[in-house]
Amino acid sequence: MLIIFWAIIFSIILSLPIIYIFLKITFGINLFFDFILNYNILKITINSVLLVLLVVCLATLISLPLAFLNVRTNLPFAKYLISISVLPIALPSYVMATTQIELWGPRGIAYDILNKFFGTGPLPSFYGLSGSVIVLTLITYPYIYIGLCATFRRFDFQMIDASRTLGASVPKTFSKIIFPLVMPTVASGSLLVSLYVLSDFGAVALLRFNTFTIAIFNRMYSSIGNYGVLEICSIAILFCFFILFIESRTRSNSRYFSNSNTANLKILDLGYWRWIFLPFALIPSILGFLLPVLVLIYWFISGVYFDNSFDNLFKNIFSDILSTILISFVSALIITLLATIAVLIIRKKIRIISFVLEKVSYIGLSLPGIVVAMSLVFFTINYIDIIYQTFIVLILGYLISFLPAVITPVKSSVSQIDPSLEEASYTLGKGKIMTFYNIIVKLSTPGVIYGGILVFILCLKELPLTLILSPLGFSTLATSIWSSASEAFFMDTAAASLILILIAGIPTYLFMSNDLSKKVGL
Amino acid sequence: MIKDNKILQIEEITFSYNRNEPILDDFSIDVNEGEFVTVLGDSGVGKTTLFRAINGLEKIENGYIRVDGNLMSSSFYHLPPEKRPVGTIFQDYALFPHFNVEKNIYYGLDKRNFDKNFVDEIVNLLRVENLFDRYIDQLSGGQRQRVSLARSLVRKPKLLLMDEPYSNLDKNLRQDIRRDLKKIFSKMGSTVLLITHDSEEALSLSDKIGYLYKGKIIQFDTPYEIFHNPLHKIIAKSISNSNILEGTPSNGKIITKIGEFIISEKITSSNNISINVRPNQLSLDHTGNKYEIVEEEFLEGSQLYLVKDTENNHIISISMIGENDFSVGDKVGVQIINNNANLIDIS
Repeated sequence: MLIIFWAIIFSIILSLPIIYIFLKITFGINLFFDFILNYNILKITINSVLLVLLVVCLATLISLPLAFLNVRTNLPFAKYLISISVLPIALPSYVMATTQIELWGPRGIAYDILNKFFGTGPLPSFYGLSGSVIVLTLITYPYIYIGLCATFRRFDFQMIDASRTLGASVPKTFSKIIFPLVMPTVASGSLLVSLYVLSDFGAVALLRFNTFTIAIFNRMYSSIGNYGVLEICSIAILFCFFILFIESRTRSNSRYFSNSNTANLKILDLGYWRWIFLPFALIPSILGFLLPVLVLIYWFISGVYFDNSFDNLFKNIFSDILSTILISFVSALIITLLATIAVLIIRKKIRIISFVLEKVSYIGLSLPGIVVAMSLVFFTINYIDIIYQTFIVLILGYLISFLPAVITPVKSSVSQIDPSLEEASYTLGKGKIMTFYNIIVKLSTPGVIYGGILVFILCLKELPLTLILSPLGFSTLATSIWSSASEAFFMDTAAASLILILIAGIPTYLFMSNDLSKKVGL
Repeated sequence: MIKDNKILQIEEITFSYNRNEPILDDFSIDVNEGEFVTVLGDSGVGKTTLFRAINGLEKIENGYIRVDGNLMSSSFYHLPPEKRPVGTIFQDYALFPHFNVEKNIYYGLDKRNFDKNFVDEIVNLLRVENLFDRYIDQLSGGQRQRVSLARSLVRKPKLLLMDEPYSNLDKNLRQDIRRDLKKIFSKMGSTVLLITHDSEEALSLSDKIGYLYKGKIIQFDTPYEIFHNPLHKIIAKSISNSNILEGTPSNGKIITKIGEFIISEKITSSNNISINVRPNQLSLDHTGNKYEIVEEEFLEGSQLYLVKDTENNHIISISMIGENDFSVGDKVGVQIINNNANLIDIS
């Protein structure tokens, strides 16, 4: 009974933003149609769709060869490259944007070097669509790359051998065998990329490219008085649903498992070509991680040099570090605990309860952070004023947004537990509690730890939710970077950005280089 | 172009991943049209490499491979796998999981130009047409094998190459399928080269068996000869669990510790030689106590005993049919039932 009550309350809390927005919209449906048919909304929609499409295409083009080279060839240092290539994911989009502007902006570092040696004029503008595509591709390609690494690790070369011995040419083998077998992985990676791009606020704001999130933010804080915020939120949600629908269609039509017990998992010998491919395999991590970090270090050193002191650079930073780690850690702990309870209830298969809980757990996927933030602001102001601008709302926002990220690995770990293991434990004389501890808890621990680390990193970097839902006066590394970056004081962001990357980058690297990733089936 | 009834000719091919240790070392074998030949050998002796060299998935360093008289591989030439008239059955069948059975079977055919009647004939013969809409995960082991065979045969290969195709099937199914396939191959007149480690499979299916050891064929003969007159200790041990006994030639007989044996080969020297004595040529009795039973196993209808010579600790295997009262720990004597043995090269 307690379980059912908990599940119902949990489901209602998770669906709060979506229920609130759609109830509000339904009550003013005429206004909604007047609003969305307006020219500006059409333009924002086209911008958002174009950005998603270009980033997904470019991220796939980078990830496919990169994952193959790192996992299935004898590329030099491939063991390290597998992990290094994921590092751009540790950069918050607003940090990636500031550093890339510094590098490629009309009068950026690239311009300085070219001008010095070749006397070239200012580079073309980096702002707008092109810059946003580059920045978001560099940050999101690991979402496709990680999945492809796992797929290529299991990819059975015997399929290629069979195709060739059946008379198929290399292009036919690629189009009919290799591509369809990796397609589901590309599709699920693309889903994450698309949702990330649709939710991104920091990069597009700094690169001045008008998308849904910018429109929502601007309207919320403009003088018009919130007009249209919920309407744009609902369009953004519809797009997210549409993307989820397309991805689920691709997945349900696919059969990409290997039925082989003697799969050919050999490593392809590239011969001398391995040294030629190496620089290409390094480009994404150089552009997406090394150069941004070098820019931050350059800013940091310049800051010390110009100011002649550390005071300005480290102004308030220690309290920001402490508050960032504290709020992220507490949130990660609460969210992981709730996710684990939810997964265990889903596993119990309590008729409709487990079904509903499973569906609503993923609701955060279809809600950009800014949409969750806005709906919670409106909801708390109107109905529970007492918790408005408290940590409760902030953690609630994190919970709704990041629950899918933690529930996936936890569920994957728990679902891999063979029910016969529990039965075996009972027959060996262990009671329910000991069996639960020895079998469920111990075997699902890698997935739970991974989920916890993931949500911790997400909370560290999250901008719109923290910016909008934080209590007054509460500042984190993300919000302090944003306040300097949005005023174009990029140099002031150096220390905070470096610390943020360090905190997020270490677990990311360790996870990819450790066999934890294999244990949770990634 | 060389053209006779030899479908596969392999002449002194060499292949190595590491130059110091060749996997295939001057390997040669011929397979005639309509023949079912098996290359038998333990794990790691180069079976899979041979399989991959014949279907073009690996390049050879020396020698040549011809199929139907046409050069496929040599040190200076390599015809890609897709151009070879070789049908391949992989160990796990390598059926494409994202295609249904029909698409798997039609995959290797040129859609504008193929013999529809022949395809229908194969599909009927292998009883796969009612599986056309199924995906691979919906097929049993036997069905997968039939689909894989149909997929290869519809392309009318000159040679069918099979790599341990029965290893994933349970024993009963394996026997049924073996019988089934034997009929199909003889009806179609297919030329087949099977690569396996399973001696039972090789003995029951093949017209000829080549025993592969350290990259070379050490005996190429009919199943009868391989079973009854293995030329090497390794073949005798692996095929019939045989005993290799040391003896001294004397008056046309070989004197061993167990007793006297006759061999068909003429021996001129008086030096010690090794002979092959199968377990069913010996039996136990209660009259002696020179041997001790150390292990007992019921194997394929007969009782197999491992007995230890108490003088030198040599182990001898003896198989006996029918009930008896011997058990582990008994002190026993050994009798010769059949004294025909064959000479063995123990090098």
